[in-house]
Amino acid sequence: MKRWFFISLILIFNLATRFWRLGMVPPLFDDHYFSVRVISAGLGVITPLILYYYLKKSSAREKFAQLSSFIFSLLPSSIIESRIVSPVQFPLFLLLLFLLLASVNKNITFRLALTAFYLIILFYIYPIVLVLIWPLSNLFTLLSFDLLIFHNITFYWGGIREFGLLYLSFLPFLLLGFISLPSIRLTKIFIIPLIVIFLIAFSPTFPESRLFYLTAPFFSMIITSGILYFWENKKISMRLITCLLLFISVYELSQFLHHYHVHYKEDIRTNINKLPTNF
Amino acid sequence: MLTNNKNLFILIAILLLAGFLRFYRLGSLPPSLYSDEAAQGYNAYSLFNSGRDEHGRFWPVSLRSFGDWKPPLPTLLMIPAIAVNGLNETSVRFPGAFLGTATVYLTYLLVKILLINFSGKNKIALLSSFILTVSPWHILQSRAAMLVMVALFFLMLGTYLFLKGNRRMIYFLFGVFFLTLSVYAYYGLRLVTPLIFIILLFLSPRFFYRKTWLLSFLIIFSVILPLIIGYLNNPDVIFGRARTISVFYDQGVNLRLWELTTQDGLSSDPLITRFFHNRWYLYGKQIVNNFFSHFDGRYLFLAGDQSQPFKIPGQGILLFIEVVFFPSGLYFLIKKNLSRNYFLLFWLLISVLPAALTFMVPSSNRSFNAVFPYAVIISIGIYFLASLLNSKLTSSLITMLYLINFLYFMNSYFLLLPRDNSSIWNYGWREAVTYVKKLEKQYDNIIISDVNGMPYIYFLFYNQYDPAQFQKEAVRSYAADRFGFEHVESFSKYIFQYEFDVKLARQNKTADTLYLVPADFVPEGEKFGQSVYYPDGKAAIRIF
Repeated sequence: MKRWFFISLILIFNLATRFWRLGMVPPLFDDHYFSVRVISAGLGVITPLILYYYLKKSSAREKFAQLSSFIFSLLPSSIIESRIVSPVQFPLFLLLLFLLLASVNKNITFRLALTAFYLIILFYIYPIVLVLIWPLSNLFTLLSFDLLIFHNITFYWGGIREFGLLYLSFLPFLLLGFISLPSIRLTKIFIIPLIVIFLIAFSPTFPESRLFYLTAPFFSMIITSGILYFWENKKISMRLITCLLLFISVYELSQFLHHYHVHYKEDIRTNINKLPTNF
Repeated sequence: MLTNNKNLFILIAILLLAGFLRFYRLGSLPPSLYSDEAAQGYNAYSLFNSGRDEHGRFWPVSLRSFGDWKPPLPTLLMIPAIAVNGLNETSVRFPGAFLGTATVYLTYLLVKILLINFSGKNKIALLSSFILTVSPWHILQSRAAMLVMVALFFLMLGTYLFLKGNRRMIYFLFGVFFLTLSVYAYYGLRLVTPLIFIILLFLSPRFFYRKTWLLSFLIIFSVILPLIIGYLNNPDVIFGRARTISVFYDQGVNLRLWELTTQDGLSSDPLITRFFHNRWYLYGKQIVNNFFSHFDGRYLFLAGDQSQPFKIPGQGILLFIEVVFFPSGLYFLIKKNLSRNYFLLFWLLISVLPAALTFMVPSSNRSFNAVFPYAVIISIGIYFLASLLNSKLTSSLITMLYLINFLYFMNSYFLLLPRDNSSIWNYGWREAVTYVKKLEKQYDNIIISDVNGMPYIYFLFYNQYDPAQFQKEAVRSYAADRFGFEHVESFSKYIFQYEFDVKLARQNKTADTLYLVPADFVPEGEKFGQSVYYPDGKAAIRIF
């Protein structure tokens, strides 16, 4: 009896604070928005009740559930969000509803399905996930063959445009190094470059990514593993391939040095106004 | 027995899902027929009714289309659907959707035969079929009549029968037949199929039996004979417009070569200049760069193909969740030394070759054959990661993440694409043709701006214009515009103007002339009698 009295009290309070002068406070500039405000207010009335049932089920403490529900009803933000067309009112209602359902049914698949469903709805209502796209795109740029071999994105910070971190002829050695190294040793070598790459991807100054240089010794280790794997294989064909690739790398080195000493200064001269810093 | 029944049940469920995702609203999604789809559809209709293509050629071995040449097989496969269902969007897209669904089943069969000695082959085969079923890349190509879906089907069918032919010769010979036939489906396969064929020879000792290779050569020769005859009449039928899209046609490399040579200056020794700056080095680097651009994470998992019309808003060619499974799949494929693992790797690399030789990269269309190895490698990644973590929670988590990611793709493809990309798919011509058809008796001339989208093909397609009559009436000079496209100048009372001035047309307008012009080419603020609108409310075509 006492319980129902308290819940009724919360309900009456919520009805009054959510619906009274709903069309006037805050001022309504477009009549079409009133019906959505009504839904928002309705959810504002029900949500504290859902919170009550969820806490009652999960904590099994009646007083704790009642008081939490009441305190939530009193909060300025819960009154404010219930009286406007709010993109967070429905996600909050749904969050508590799903928590209630998950506390009733403890099946892991059911809980994961609810989580998935909730995240999808949240994405549509409030596409926060899109914030991650930018660092992800940076991350893929940093992990691309383009950056590794063909283009340096730090041109404006002293890089040379047409050469990446490695020579093209090193690529087969790099790939083979990845494959041939035992998993534990590869993880040990590659963990630091991975951390560095993650840090650069989240940097607000991207594409300024000179920190990438920290990964160079580790790439050298993997390339060397690849070269040794090729060379230590006694087959004459493998040794021939190694020699050929190393010969091409000498040509690429000469290309690089020629570019650096002849063309790079021209590139810098024509872009002098765009350089953000001296180097 | 129980496991077999369970596998069968799962496979049927996957195929039903694949069919649903490929046939649901096939006629209206993508929102309009792309000009290449309409051209294939009308040519199939023309061949069915008159035995000749729109140019009046009798059952050609390559179809001339807007200055390009299209292999005939996808068009020929449209004929039964058009015969039964008439000339409409669904009939044109039916072969792609049907063969797309069939490739899901073929994937199951092919994976089982490729991983023949591996105990988990059934699970990986089912997983691969499922991955292909929900693949954004595969769904997009299955629902649009763009050649490559048909090509992939015949390549996979030929490969499967070829490998199955290790036990029975008849399968082997059918395998050879379908592999050879695949070169009539897509130009890229004229490079891919021979390379796959060479690798298959290492996996199939049967070929080296005297009787088998004699018969195989006979089949290959018989199937490509029409192509050889076609080539003797017109060399373009072999590689179409490959020359104009080739990396060597692009002037970027030549200009860079000129720039670098100039920067070396007159004082530099010509031999040294040539040593550093030569076409071999620059083109070689460009081709390798093009090749690796197809393995860029931004293309695979975030932005996808940026070329028209293969763009899906906010979607990579693979699902984002696969960013974990693809690299791990590659790792397990090599480390676990699965049977015929190198065949899958070769297939993946070979599939990208045709695209690497062109200058518009990365290209999901030209590298589409890679969709099969991608699906299998991703499945191998899922299979081994799930076995490694071995818990119900892992499986549930993977399922949940797939579900979320797939629903995101569904939103992008089924809701955002028709709203945001209608212009890319040349939306509006169907509505415009239907409108004009009601009024055409009132006008002596109907003048259509031909600045983009090849509108003549839509007038032929949606009016189901008599092919024999069009072949007689069509006025076309076969002169290519600056992009290499050939235009039709007029037929019947329809006149297509490549150089179209809206202001001049409005000043000189007479009562017996109706004008149609894409809204992008009309100055803002001008008022018109009638307009066709895109689904997002913007004007597509103005009619006055």
